[in-house]
Parts: sequence; C-alpha cells; structure tokens
Amino acid sequence: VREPATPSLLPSVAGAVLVAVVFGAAAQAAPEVTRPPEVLSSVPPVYPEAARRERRGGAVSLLVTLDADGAVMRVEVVESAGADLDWAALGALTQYAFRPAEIDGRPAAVAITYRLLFEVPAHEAPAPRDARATAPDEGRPAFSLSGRVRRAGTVQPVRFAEVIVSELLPEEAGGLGAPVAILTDDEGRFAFPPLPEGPYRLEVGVEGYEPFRDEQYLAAGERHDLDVALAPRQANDFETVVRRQRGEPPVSRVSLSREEVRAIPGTYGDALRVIESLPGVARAPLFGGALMVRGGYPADTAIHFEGVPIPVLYHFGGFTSVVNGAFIEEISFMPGGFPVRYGNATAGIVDVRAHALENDTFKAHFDVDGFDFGFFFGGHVKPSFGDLALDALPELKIGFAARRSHTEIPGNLFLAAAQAFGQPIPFLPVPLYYDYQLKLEADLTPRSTVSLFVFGAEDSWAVLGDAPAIGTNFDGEDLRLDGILNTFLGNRFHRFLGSWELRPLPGVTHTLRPYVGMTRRGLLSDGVVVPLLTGATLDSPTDELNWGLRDELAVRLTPWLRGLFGFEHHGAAYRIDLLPGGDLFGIEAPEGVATGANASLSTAALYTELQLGPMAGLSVVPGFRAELSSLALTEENALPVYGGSARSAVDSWTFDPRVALRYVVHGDLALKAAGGLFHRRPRAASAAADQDGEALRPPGALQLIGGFEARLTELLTLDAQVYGVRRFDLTRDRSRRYQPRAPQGGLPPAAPAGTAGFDSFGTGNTIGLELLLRSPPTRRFFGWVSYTLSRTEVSLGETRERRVAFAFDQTHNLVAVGRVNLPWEVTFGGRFALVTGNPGIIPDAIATRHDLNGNWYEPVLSSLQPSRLQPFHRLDLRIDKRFIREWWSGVVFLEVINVYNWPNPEVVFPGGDYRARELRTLLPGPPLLPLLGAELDL
Amino acid sequence: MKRGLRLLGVLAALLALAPVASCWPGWDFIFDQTPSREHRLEDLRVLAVLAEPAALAIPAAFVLDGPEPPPLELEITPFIFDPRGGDVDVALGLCASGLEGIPCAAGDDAPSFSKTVRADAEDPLGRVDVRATLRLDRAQLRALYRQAGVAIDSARNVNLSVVVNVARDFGGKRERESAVLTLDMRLDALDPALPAAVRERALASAGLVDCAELESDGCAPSLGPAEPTCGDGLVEGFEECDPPDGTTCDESCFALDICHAARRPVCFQPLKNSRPLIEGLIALSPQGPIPEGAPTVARGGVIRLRSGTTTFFAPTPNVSQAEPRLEGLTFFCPEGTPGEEPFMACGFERVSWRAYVLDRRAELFDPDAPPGQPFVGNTSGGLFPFGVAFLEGTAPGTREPLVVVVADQRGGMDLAVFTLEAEE
Repeated sequence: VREPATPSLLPSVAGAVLVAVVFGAAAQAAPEVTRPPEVLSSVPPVYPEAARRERRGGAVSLLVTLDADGAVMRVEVVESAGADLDWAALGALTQYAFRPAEIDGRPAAVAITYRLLFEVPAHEAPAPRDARATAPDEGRPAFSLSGRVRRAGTVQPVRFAEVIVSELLPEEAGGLGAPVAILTDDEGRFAFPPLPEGPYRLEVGVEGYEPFRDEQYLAAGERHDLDVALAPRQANDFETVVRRQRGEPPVSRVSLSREEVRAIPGTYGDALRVIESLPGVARAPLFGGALMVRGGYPADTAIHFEGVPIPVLYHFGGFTSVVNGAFIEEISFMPGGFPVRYGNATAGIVDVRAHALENDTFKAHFDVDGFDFGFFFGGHVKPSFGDLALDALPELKIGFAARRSHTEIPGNLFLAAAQAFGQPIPFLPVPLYYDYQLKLEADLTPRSTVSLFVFGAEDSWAVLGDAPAIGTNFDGEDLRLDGILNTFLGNRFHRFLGSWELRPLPGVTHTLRPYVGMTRRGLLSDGVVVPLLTGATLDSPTDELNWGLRDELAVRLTPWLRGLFGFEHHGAAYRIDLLPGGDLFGIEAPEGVATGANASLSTAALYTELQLGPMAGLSVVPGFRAELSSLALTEENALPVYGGSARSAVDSWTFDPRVALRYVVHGDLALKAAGGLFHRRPRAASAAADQDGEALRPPGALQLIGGFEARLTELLTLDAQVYGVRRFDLTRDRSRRYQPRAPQGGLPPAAPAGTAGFDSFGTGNTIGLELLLRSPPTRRFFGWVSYTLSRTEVSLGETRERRVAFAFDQTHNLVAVGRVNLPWEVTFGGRFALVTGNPGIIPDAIATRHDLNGNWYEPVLSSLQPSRLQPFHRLDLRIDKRFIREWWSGVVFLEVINVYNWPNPEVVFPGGDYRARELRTLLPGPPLLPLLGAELDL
Repeated sequence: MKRGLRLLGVLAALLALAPVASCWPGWDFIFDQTPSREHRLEDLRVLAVLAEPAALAIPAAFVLDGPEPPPLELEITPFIFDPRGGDVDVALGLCASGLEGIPCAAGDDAPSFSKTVRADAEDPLGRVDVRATLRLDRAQLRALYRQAGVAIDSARNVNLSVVVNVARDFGGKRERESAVLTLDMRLDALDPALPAAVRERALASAGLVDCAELESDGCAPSLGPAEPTCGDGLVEGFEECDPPDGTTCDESCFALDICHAARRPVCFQPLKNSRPLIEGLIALSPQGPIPEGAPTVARGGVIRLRSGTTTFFAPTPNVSQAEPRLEGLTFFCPEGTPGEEPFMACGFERVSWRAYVLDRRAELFDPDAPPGQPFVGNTSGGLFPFGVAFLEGTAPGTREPLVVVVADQRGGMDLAVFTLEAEE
C-alpha cells in the first residue's frame, strides 16, 4: 500500500521532501491506511559544520519505523548523502513525534520513507531556494527582494521560516499569482531572485510563531531589504501534556516546559507549583517546596538534574530554582510507576533537564530583580593557538550562568526604615543564595559528543545589624546567630558532571555520565516543617563528598524490541567531628581530644529494561533493577558508640522488578497499567543513630497502577488512573513511639536498654483515584481539571491507634486551571483549588494552666481527638497584556493570589497570651496578594 | 532584565496594594502587638499558693511495712482574687510527676478539697479566702509515686504538684483558671529507721553511690578537705566559691558542708523547706544593681507616688531554712576513678518576683523599656526591678493596691499587698 505524501506531512526543515511509503503490517493483505502518520513536532537537523564549510549538501533518505503510538522506533539510512549528513538526519528524525497512522481505523505500526534535503545556506549560495522561484517577466522591470526574519522584539534569527511572495492579481485573474517560496537560512536571511514589479503579498510562517502577512507594491529597480519580526505563538502553545518518552508507555509521566508554565496563575512562574496542580500531589504547606506524591513523604520523591541526584531543587525549600532558568529545558514529573533507571525513590521522580547548547550565535542575558541578579552567556569557540587554528579540535559550545541574591539591600532598607520610624530593630537575619552553571559541549565526531557540566548552589544566612553573640562554644569562642542559622538551615552543593555520548551504530547509543561533588546539608535541610512532620532525625551538618556515574546502553534490536542496559553508582563520604566533651548519640566524646566518626555511603545498581511491541497497539516494558546499598561508620579514638569498632549500619540488596503496559484500543482510547517494587535507602542520619545492632532495611513500596486515556471530544481528553501503594519497612523513630500510660495514670516503664534509635517496622497504605480532564491548547483556550481521591494511612507506632491518617492525607484534591486568549493580545487565566484539610489535633476548648513556680502559662486543651483542618480553597487570577514592537516585546501582567483573601490556616493552636482563651491561627496561607509585573525582551 | 523589570513591578504593586493585603489574618499572629495584661488584676486569678511544708520528706515508715504511720500533712493557702466579687468554686488536689515540667492531673485517689467561697466585696482585690489541709496516708502516697513512675523505695525526686482549680460563672459564661505549684518530695534516705539495705537500694535506684564503700576513691578526700564556704541558700546569680577554683555552683557548697557535718561521704543536696518572705520593697535605680539593705517600704506599707512619675522597686525577700535535712540530692560522688574530680551538677536557686495592679490608674513599667511599651517583667521570670506609677492626672489621694509575689524554685512562695497612694 502506498500512500502519497500530504502537505501536512511536510516538516519545517530545509528543503525537506517527504515521500511516505507505508507498509509493514499493512502490506500483508488488503488493509487500508485510513489515516497516514502526521508530523506533530519536528526538530530541524543540525547542518554539519564541515559540510557547511565545504558547501556540501544532499538528500538523505531514511526508513522510519513508527509504532502504534507514533513513536519513532527505528531509523535507517536508505540513501546516503555522506556520513555527517546521515548522522544529522538520523539525529533529527529520532526526535520527531508523529500522530500514529491508522489502518482500518486503528492505530498501527508503519514504516515510512522520509527524505531530508540539505542545502547550502542561502547567503553563501544566493541561488533560488525553490524550484517555483521564477525569473522575471521579460516585459516588466524587476526588483530584488531580500531580508531577514527574526523573533519579534529580539535580534534572534528565525531559521527555516518559509517566506512566500505572491503577486496580487486582479480578481478576474484569480486574485493571487503563483506563490514563490523560499526558506530562511541559519541567520534568518532570505533572498529572492529578481521578480517582476508589481503588488505582492508577502507571507512568512514557521512553527511556533504567528504567521506574518503584508501586502505592498514592490517597485522595480529598488532593492527591498525587509526586516520581518515574527511574534512567537506563546499564548497558545501551552502544553502540559502527558508526553510519552519514546518507547516507554506513559503510565504516569507529565512533562512540563518552563516556558510553557510561565503564566499559570498562582504559581509565581514556578514550575514546581504547577506540579502541585496535577493529580497525585498533595497540597504543600505554607509556601510549598515539599513534594508529597501519592501519600509519600518528600524524601520518597527523588530529584534529578541531568540524571544526577541533587539534594534540593529550590533555594530555601521552595523559593526559586537552584538552576538558572536559562538552563532549564524541561521538568518531568513521574508520580509513580517510573522506569528502572530511577532508584532511591518510592513515590515519584522529578527530572530536570538542561538546555542543549547551540552553536549558531553568541548570546548574553543579564537580569536583576528584587531578590537576585544574574547573567547567562552562551556561545562557541574554536580552539586556536595564536594565529594557528587547530582545525583538528572540535568547536566548543559554552554556556555559563550565575546568580546571586541581594537580599541585603531590602534588608538594610527595612532596618533603616524601622530606625527612621522610631522602631529600631537591632538585627535582621536575611537569606542569601547563589547558584552557577557552566556547560561545555563539543561534538568530537559525528558519532560522539562530550560535555562537562559544572553546577552548584548555596543557601546561607547573613545577619544584618548588630546581633549579639548567642553564647560561646566549647573553645570559648562566640556563637554568632548567622553561624547557628547556617548550621541548621544552610545548604550547599557543587557538582562536576561529565557526559560522553557515543552513537557507534544506527539505533545504538551509549552514554556515560560520571560526576563528583560535595554537599553540605543543614540540620534542618529538608525545611523547617518537614522534619517535624516526617519524624526525620537531624542530618549531620558536615561536608559530604559525593561521586558517582551512570552508564547506559540503548539498543534498538528490531522495530519492536528496544533494550536499555544501565549501571549506576553513587557514593558519599563524610565525617562527623565532635567537639571535645560533646556527645554523639548520647555518648560523650573525650575531653581535650579531637574525635569523630567517618561515614561512607555507597550504592551500586544494575538495571535493564526491554521495550516490546509484540502486537499492534500493545507495548510492554518489563524492567529490573538490582541495587546494593551500604552505609558504614568508623569511629575514632574508640568512641564507644558502636562498641568502639567500625559498623555497617545499612548493608542491603534490593531487587525491583517493574513492568508497564499500554494498549491502544483505538485512536481515542488507550489502556495502561504498571506495577512493581520501589525502594529507597534509609536516611543516613537515622541509620547512624540506630544503635541496636540491627541494620535498617530500605523502605520499600509496591505500586499497582491502572488507567486509561480517552479523547472524549476533539477538545477534551481524560486521563484516569487508580492506584494502590503498599509501603513497608518504613523507618520508625523509637523515641516517638507511643507509650500508653500505666493504669491509674502512672507512667509506663522505661524502654528497655538497647531499644533506642530506629527500626524498620513502619508500614503504610495508599489507595487513590486520579482524574485529569484536559482541554488541549487551542487558539482560544486551554485548561485542565485535576481531581484526586485518596486515602493514606501510616503505622509508625506513634499513636495509640495502629494506623492513622498520613499527615498530608487529603481525601479530595480538586484543582482547576484555565486560560483564555482574548483579543488584543490579552490573556486571562485562573486557578482554583479545593482541598480537604490536613489531619491534625484541633483543640476545641481551652483553659489555662498557670505554673506558679516559673510564672508561665500554658493552654489546656480539653479535647485531643483527631480532627482535620478546615478545607483549603483558594482562587488565583492572572491577566496578561502582550506588546510586540519592532525591536522589543513585553508583557504586563497582574496576578492576584487568594482573590477572596481566605485565611486557610495551616495549623491552629491556642492563643499566646496568658489567657490562651482564644483560638488563633498560626501561619495562614498567603493572603490576598496582587502582583503586578512586566517583562521586557530586547 | 526581563525578570528584573517584572519583579520591580511586583515590588511596586506590593507597596501600592499593601492596604488590601493588610486584611490578611496572619499579620495578627506575626506582628501581634496586643499588650499583655497579665500584670493587671481584673478578673479571676490565682496568683500564689503557699504550701507548708514546701517540700515533703517521706519518713521510712511510709516505705516499710508496718502499722500505718500518721498522715503527712500539707497545708495549702491559695491566693485567689476576683475584683468583681461573687462566688468562686475552689478545688484543690495533688498529683505527681517523675519529670520536672511534665504536667499531671489530680487523681481520684489523691487527697483533695473543694469549696465555694465568696470573694471579699470589701477588698478591692476581691480576695477569696480559703485554706485547706491535705493529708496523705500511705496508700495515697504510694498512688502518687505510681503516678510519677517512681518506686516508693527510691531516693529519686518526685515532683508533687498542688493543683488549684477555680471557676465561676460570669456574664453567662463559665470562667476557669488552673494554677499549679510544684514541690519536691523524696524519701528520707537517712531516716535512722530505714534499714541499710533499703537505703542502699534507694540510693542506687537514684543513681547514687554510697561513698562509704569507696574508701579509696576521690570522693571523701577531694570533697572533705576543701570545705568551700559560700552560699547562703539564696542565690540570685553566680557566686564565687571559696576556694575560687572549686566551683561556682552553690549547690555543692551545701552538699559539702552537710556531707562533712554528717561525716558521711555521700553528697546530698538538702531538701529544704524554704519559705521566702517578702520583708518589703526597696527603691532603686532601674539601671543599677539591686542593693542590699533594709527595705524602703515595709511589708504592707504605703507607697506614695506623684502622678506620672515612675519609681522602681524590687522586693527584699528573706529565705528561711527550715530544718534542712539530708534527704535529697542533685549530684553525687564520682563513680569511682581514684583522683578524678567529682562531677558537680550545678544549679541555681533563685527567687523571682511578680507584681500586679488593678485595671485602674496605676501602671507598671519595665526598666529600660521605651515609653508606651507594655509591662512584661512578670513573664520574663521576674528578676528585674519593676516600675510603678500613677497615670498623669490621677487625683491626689487615690489609693490602689500593689500585689507582689515571690517564688523560689523549690515551691516556696509569698505574697504581700502594698498600697499605692497618689500625692501632689
């Protein structure tokens, strides 16, 4: 069966010509291709630099195998144009996304022939770009038309834009002459051959931009050099899609682009907050930053950046990203059922990917705002030695960004204002942070790429004004407030990440990513709230050396079989220094002797995954992960914590089989399921503090997920999932264990010796239903309604009841997000959330207990029955007005948080005065907060 | 640039629209400027409780089997006030806790007392005059020890709480207050009637070592000859012991004296039936130290003040030591390495005070506080002088009461009422 190419299949690449040959399953009998595959998104091929220099082009024909989901399963070169052009074409095609073809009305795997044409850029070869370009009429004088297409408001060229000129003819002649088309080059330039004088319509179009149209009389003898500014189609390209990764059934994956979520109300432009608007994520307390996914604690969700685990994603637990926005390409969120390449997580995965560097232009960006200032620089260099260019060395792409807060400025202004108003404030702690990223990338050969990525961040505190010393340490030195704050709340990490990608054969990719770094965690590094809620113990405020690597081999064996094999290793080493005379876990350190304990953490994992397509519409991805974790502590000076000897606190194997299935019933309905085991390491601090001689077991979870995706109408899709999570081997803090009171009110007997510390007998269960009703983006509207019905219980031995609701158990979690595009470049959006209140102890009657010995008062709660906070509900609105001018573009917006100013108390506690008779609200959510802002692009 | 301009706009908007956001209820918590009225006596309050004795030494007869000993008596005098007058329900009870600061609830099998008393209408303070004697028999005492989680035959300290619950109906609502005074209660480990084996077990259960069995260790030699003499039982701050390098901890001084006197190298802190007594008030400079000497105003005297003029006072308490005996301890001999310095458990014994006025013309001030700041001296423990003044324009001859309370850390309290009189 042969299906001719259709215009909709034309990709926006230079001179691409597609001849689609559909066969495969359809080639057997008489099935009919009822719908050919369509290109949903395409990536232009990178024109090899050597070929560009040599002004070498050509056509590459590729045989592209698509599965029933439209994913590119295999690409083979059918007609070569040279190895470098072949590789460029292969690299581009593997990033294409297709709407699946349909055979007899059902999605089916097909293979098509795809032809990519590489042409020498126009400014280097000013020849007609298209065969339709015609010579001028002999009878009419001609004019020259050239110009440049750029992104509106910037000098950024728009390449591969299609420029079409059509002569305007009288109505009786058809109204419009034959169009003449040409594509812009890498510089965004275009040049037409001489055309006959007359009135013309000029049209410019490219994916991602609003089309441009203009009509004017082009006089003969003149050289028309046009400057065309295309407005990015930003208001309409929001895409919070459940975007599948090629070859992986997308059971629970949501990919968010930073630009895509920029204008969602109530998020402050923070992608993490957008994740909170998706199903399965509990509403985070206070100012967010803590991800509690499907009943898991924040530590159950791992955060990766470029495949490397990082301790935090946001400064101060939810403030701003620790990675400069210029470097963030995408944040992928997987609330469950994630692939075996991810370990050390039992709930979810957040994977942040950095931008790939471009080598076409030099870019520089500077920004300053009320909190920080920063810059980004991107470009490329050709290594040289004096006047001698080293042609043998590859071109080096560089990206460097850095940012630092300047909160001292508003802090000092605040102190000065307080002084001026007669309310002097002696000192003020202010948070400080910085982060940086440096990325170097080079294509060693057409088949291999290397990069070095250096990044890091620090959160610290400074105390403005004159802060008195809090006390003295063991050496008699003053203890400063900033030092104390940094000990408890400071964070710091640095990472050196290398990457080497080798593509030795078509369909084979080998990636090696080693890294080293250091981490310093404050004692409350998880945030002030989280340790209290999770029962987590304190981490050691010491510098931790980190290292590791990930080695992956991806192989496409056949069109229906793809394999992934990987090895992962992570290590950490740190030392706990003890002050002479101090103590570690209650064991006194000797006086006058520097002593401490050394800890080393090591994990190694092997994982493999097969992606099978045994039949049309069905894909099965079984995977297996085996991981060995060990945590060893070595004491110095015979410190009698563990009997004076080295001790292995954690030494365990975990085996995680996982499987994911997806079956496309028909084009509008797909069934999906996933299940498997997930483990994470016990917290090192908990394991170190456990002295009973029995190593802690890694907390684990068994996840079962089922659901479907359905296209209800052209403008409405539904993603529904049910899931159950069985948690086991959760770490319990014995010091928080519930102690029933002895009869007649007596205290219970003391815990037996040796039972202090932690054990692994905690359990938990989560069941839930998640619905995501979504209206895909159109020119007028997009939005979604997310609803989660769930119940999470934990058994940690901290209460009289064996099982209690999880601290963030939110039975109903409803979030509606929408944005409508109005005329005059105005958009209006809203976000409404209605969430069940968190469980908690709500005092329903108050009395006062007056301690006469010390003359202090404490509330007496007459009821300690478990209850819940009031339901949380909040409406946020945002309106944007966009301006696009010749050399600049801008957006003015007004965002109103908590429109009706509902207090939404997070914790209710008795009043603080001596009477304590009135209930007061402790730390309500954000108040009504209007935010007026503007953006400017030059 | 992009973010900068955007956030600059944000900041401008925040400033312009701050009044709207000021409606947020959270500001009330974060910037709570509500002045404390703790020092104003305007409704039902329990300001002090006098317990006699202020510490209970448990005789051996309560531990040993045998005939029921005479009950231990505890005389309780709560100082209850309600300037509005009216009937007040008063209930007294006892409970025990093994850990300091852990509240307990009075049990059913503990001695208790309840009565409805009318506040004195003639007294501007509305004193509720009530007094009760609670008697503890052996069974009740053992119940209290069980509640505290401490064995009856242990020398460990038990915190005995005297709970005073008061309630009344006013304005259609039921008002309640609860005040707790915590006393020390311990077995008299040196009661001659206590068999040696029982005593040793009692000491051991409290983590003590009877040094009599450790002749060669450093306990007796290092403690005995030093005989530092410092401290008089009332410590208002650090004191230098003699010899200076001995320790700055006054507790040791008591212990050493008593150990030495008892010729027993067992280091005890005495269980003191302390009874602080307010002798009067001494006028002083708010910035200067609290002087020693005779009080400026004798107990119950009249303080004459000019309107708008603040005078600072501190009480001059005297602490009487009633029968210090060798029943208690807070530190002990080292566990045995010869020549090793003994471990000293340092602690303070300090007397704090509080002051109260009616909700009328008199006001209290803290030293060094900016004008207009509410008085918080009571809530900080009451260790600093308090200023007293009549508001501007107070008519000469106006008289109002000033209530002063002192408390030590062992359950000893006293309350005295002075009279403030406005003069020209």
